[in-house]
Amino acid sequence: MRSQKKMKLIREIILYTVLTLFSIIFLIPLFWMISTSLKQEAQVMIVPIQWFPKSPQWRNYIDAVKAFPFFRYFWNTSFLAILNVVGTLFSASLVAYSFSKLRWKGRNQLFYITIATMFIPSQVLIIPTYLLFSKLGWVNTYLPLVVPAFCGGGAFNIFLLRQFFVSIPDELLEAARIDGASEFRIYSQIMLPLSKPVLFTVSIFTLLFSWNDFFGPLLYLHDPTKWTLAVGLRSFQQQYTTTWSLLMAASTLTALPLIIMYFVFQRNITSGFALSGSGK
Amino acid sequence: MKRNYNFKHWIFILPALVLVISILVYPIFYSIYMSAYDWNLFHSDAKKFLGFENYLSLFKDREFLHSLWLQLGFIVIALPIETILGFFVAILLNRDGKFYDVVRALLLLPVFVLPVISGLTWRMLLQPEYGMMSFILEKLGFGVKAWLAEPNFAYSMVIIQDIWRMWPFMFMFIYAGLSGMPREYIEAAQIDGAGFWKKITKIVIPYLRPTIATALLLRLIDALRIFSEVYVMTGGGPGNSTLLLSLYINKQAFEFFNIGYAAAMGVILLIVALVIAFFIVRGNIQFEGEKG
Repeated sequence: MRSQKKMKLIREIILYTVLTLFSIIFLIPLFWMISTSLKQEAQVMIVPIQWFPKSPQWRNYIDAVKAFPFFRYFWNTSFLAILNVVGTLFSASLVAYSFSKLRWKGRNQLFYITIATMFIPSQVLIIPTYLLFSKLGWVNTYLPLVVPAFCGGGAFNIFLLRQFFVSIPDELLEAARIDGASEFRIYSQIMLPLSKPVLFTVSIFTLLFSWNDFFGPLLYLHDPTKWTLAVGLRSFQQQYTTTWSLLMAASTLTALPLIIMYFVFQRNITSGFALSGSGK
Repeated sequence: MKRNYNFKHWIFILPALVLVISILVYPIFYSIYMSAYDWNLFHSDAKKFLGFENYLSLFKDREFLHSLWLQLGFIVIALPIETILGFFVAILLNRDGKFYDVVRALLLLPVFVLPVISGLTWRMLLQPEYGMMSFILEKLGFGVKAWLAEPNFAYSMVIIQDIWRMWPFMFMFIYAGLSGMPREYIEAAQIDGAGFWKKITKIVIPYLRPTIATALLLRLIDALRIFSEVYVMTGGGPGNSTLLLSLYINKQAFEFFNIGYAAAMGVILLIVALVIAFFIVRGNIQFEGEKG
């Protein structure tokens, strides 16, 4: 018995060591980003490389923020992200409700077709959509980046919400219908409050997607004051090609909001993955 | 439930219809239509009908075939590695304890880093001499090189960058599925005295199949539209050694303005996507709750 315990301990130690090493290896790029952001520019290009900045240059962050309109881009990005989340929550949940709790002719067929839209590579959609939006005069406005969220919010979100809605018993809604509640009332007063976890998951995925989006803003926004962080960072890189310390300071600042959000909501995010993974 | 919701509840159905029409019916048919023309983005009036000629030229366009090949290679190499890595780390981390919680939280971090930032950071890591990766490679005896100027190496690094950023995504899905797995499953196997590999292949993998397939589908959709990471990391170069199809389509459409030609490429990409998705879905995913 004792030796079994010992074996278990040894196994645990090996596991700890392996996982620690593994984590370190995978976190090195992020560590390097932050480390570089705190170096003097001269230190960045030194060989052999310096793992830690000699005297952390916090000034780099001030300089980076001054070198490009960081706060403006931050505001633009947040604004777009919030509109996308609101639009998606609203429209995707409406659609999911009709796909799960209302009966109408052609419902299942339309559901499958909607799911099929998930598999269409966005490269196929870009050109016709660009032509359409430019005909509407929407180029160089935020409309192409916002309106689609209000039109169903993407098949994946509809799918997630629908799978969750299906699991809510119909009897609950029937009771309300008998009491004479309107369908919209049932949707907003019964369905949505019961679906908070999945609505949260949808919000996180949408936020991540919108925050990361590079191609959309690059294609539609020509006026630099309208740019988002992702596109702004790219132009920052073009201007300060090898000023890595400033570029990495700007990158760290840009990455920070999502990373903070991740740590704050970590538990909910993890269960969100569980929700989407169980989508059968 | 015999009431007729058809008319009264149009508001619930309308967004779905708009979605389907605006991102499925209209763009696909319009793409197919465009692909039959010699069509310049800024001279829509001067478009010329070509029939299938764009498709014929595509298969003679070495750059297209090359970029399609690169895109397929990217998917076929990156996605399985991400899955395998995610799978085994999920099995190792499927334990309770503060240590495991912390490791799990840290490992997921790269998913929340913007692709653009990931691309920029990897570009910096690979700068000759003073880049951290170049430094390590030099120490390992690979010599001093401008790594991103080496075609094969640049392509590998684009893939490694993606694996680095997205394997935790697979990991999270598989881990979530694993922690929802009923204990009896494993215990039944233990009574039968099944070994580690047997347990994995006979119990864990069959149980997780729908989860893994769903996660893979999401990764596939993402991998087909990879853009910003590569755009800032290598810009498609050197030469066109990292010009994946997703980048080449963009180049044809918005740099050369050949939108007819680009649309034809999009149609090909669509077919490729549907074929791969079919193999992932088949036998692995069922859409439950189809009653009524």
